[in-house]
Amino acid sequence: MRRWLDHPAWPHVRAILIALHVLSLVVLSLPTAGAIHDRRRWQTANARDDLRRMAARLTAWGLATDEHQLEQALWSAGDAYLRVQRPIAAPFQRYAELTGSRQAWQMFASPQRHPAEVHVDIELSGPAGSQWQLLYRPHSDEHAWNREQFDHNRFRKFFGRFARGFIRSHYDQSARWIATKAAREHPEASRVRVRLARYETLPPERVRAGERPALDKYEHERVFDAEALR
Amino acid sequence: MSPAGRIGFIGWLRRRWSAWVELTSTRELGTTLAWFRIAVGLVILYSLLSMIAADLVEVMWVDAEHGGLLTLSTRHWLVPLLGGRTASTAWTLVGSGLLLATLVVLGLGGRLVILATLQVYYALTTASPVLTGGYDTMITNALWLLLLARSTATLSADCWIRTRRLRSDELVPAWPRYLVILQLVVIYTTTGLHKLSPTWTPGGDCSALYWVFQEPTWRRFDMSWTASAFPLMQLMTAVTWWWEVLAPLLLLVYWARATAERGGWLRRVLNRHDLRKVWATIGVGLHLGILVSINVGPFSLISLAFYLCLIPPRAPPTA
Repeated sequence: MRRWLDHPAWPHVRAILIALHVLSLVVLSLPTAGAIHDRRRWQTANARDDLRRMAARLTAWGLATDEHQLEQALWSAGDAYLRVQRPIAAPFQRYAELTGSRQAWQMFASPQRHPAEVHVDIELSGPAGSQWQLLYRPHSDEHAWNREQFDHNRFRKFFGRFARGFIRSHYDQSARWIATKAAREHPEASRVRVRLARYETLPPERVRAGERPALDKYEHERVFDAEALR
Repeated sequence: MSPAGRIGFIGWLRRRWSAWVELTSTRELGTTLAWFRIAVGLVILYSLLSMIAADLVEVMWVDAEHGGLLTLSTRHWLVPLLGGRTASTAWTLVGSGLLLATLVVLGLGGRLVILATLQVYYALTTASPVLTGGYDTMITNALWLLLLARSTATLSADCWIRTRRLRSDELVPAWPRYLVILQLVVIYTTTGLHKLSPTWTPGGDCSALYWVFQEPTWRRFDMSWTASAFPLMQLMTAVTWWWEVLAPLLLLVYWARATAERGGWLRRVLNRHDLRKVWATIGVGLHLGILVSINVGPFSLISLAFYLCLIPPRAPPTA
């Protein structure tokens, strides 16, 4: 091994291998189909808002367009770009997959202005009938059931994805897991409800005026029979 | 191209290639890469221990079929070998990961231990793309570069076994450290170029950081006060975006320093101040800000570990 590394050709071979790594780094860091060509993401309230703002800006610069024309143009440009990017990236994918040197960096690309919070409730029955009791909502000291798990960054990020590009199978599986845990830890509950509270983040001037976001719009409600989950 | 032009071009290519071979043959003391190894090992320990502390190992790294949160991937070769995404596989991987990361910190076992750590951490974090973070990719990238480096040449148990001393002045290849710096530049450049939202880009209202701080997913605590400091948020947004998309200029700064003796106005301008320190100061400030205000796991910690490679080791002692 030592003798092989002392061979005069070795510095050149090493330089070629390092150059290939550098090339892989650069090529794989270019935007992929998942980042730019995901229909689900393009339909989110956030993406629609971005498109509207971009179209307004272009129009102000004298390039008259609207949200839909711009979307069509960007989608076509993405198509053309991916026809070039895919074959270039393909030879490096295997190397990155084997070595763990994948390159997908898109942090806070479009900050969320329409977040969704996971809320968990249980139904309690009493003499006056049954009523829902809120067990968990993010950042609440009062409704803090299972906070030690839900506050972990991996859970937070996972929940945050439901607002960025809703994947039904992930939501359904996690709703069932949450409901099962809630049912087992609350034997008094007859039903468990998991749902997403969707709201619009308020712009700074409205926050300064004392307003707070209204959490009154719920989506993707899942209700489970607690007994069946125990 | 004329024959003279072709000869000139080939000569230029030869000079560039020689410079590249010379650069990749540079050797230096292994101190910086050793500190990088120690920092990466500590971040892996933090990442795994935080999962244990939050009781999430059997939630996120076990398949729904065995009581976990989601249906998980078994594409990493270690997972089927250990019997699939079961609780025993998850704990075997986490237990091995803790042991191996400790050995990485101690610098015992050289490249073999680093390779094993990479495989174990990779096996855990390929469970599902929706349960990982950018920091997991940064960790596996760091481990791959450490595998290529001679990171246990000094400040390691390996060094002590070899020389009966903790430190060694043995020279190691410098190119893995250069690749760590390049990795950092690529991360910032591409994340900057992905920020095409009008809330980030020039001509918009530079409101991006204000919205990030309101998001329940990220913020650690109530950040509504940022509404009263909106101009500061706008300034921070602009600084972040420009600093990220202009990150490749750091390579130009390195080039100007390495070739300072050739002179020229551009080198003189770039070398007037140590711009590496300016760039690193902004970056460290940004990551400390992230660490305090938003919860992105060990992202800032692994990023700061990469920054260690910006610090060149002291010059080797002359013979």
